[in-house]
Amino acid sequence: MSTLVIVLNSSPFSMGTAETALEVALTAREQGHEVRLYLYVDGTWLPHVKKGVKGPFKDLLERSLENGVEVVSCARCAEMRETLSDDIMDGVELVGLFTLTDWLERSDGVLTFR
Amino acid sequence: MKAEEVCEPEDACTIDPSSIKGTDEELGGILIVVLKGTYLTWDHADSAVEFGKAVMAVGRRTSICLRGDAVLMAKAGQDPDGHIPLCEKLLEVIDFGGRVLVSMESLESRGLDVDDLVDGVEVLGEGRIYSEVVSHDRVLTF
Repeated sequence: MSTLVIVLNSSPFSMGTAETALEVALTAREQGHEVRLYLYVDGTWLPHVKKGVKGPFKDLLERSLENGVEVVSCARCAEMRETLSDDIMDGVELVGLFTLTDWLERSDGVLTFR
Repeated sequence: MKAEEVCEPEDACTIDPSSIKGTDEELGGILIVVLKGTYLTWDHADSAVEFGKAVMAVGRRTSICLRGDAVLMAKAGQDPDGHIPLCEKLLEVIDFGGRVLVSMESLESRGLDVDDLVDGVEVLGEGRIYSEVVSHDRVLTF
């Protein structure tokens, strides 16, 4: 088993980037890998319950969390988009940048979706 | 609510420059590739640089590679209304021991050359950039 870090910089409103990132995360997790998803920049829209998580994203994000994908969101980026903790899906933690540096230290690979 | 109120104190979103103590050459490096650098996409460029500072704060070698429109980040003499000039943020990275690499092909295709850029950046051809990619432990793209 290896540890995969996925960084999502893209919003759920643009093309299929966020959906693909979630599908990769879920598939890797179902294959038994540790998967950590860091939502950064526009990716912080994803867990927003009023504006971001709709349609296929809601289902994919819920399944990812249920299957043990660790999902966090950059607090500063969320603050800039007014999507702080009251508005985000349960199970998604707001964190700083040192969470990402720590994850990279302990990962076997990293994928960026932008 | 502010970001500082929801993050642990040791897990900052904005990096205090005094926390950057220098890099440990024994640790692998992180290459941050930036493809957007104009002010309408300011957030991506700013977040990439801020993450670079976080990497340096934990002692890792950090290189920021500007390709595509992101080469405009390194242009000298920027005066954006209401924003910190992106070139100043790059100079901060260089001051703390990080490297800023600029794609020569991206620069030339936008009618710019090395004389248009702030001091301290390294202009490299795509072949050298490939070497940088393989010499770093991890690559992130913004």
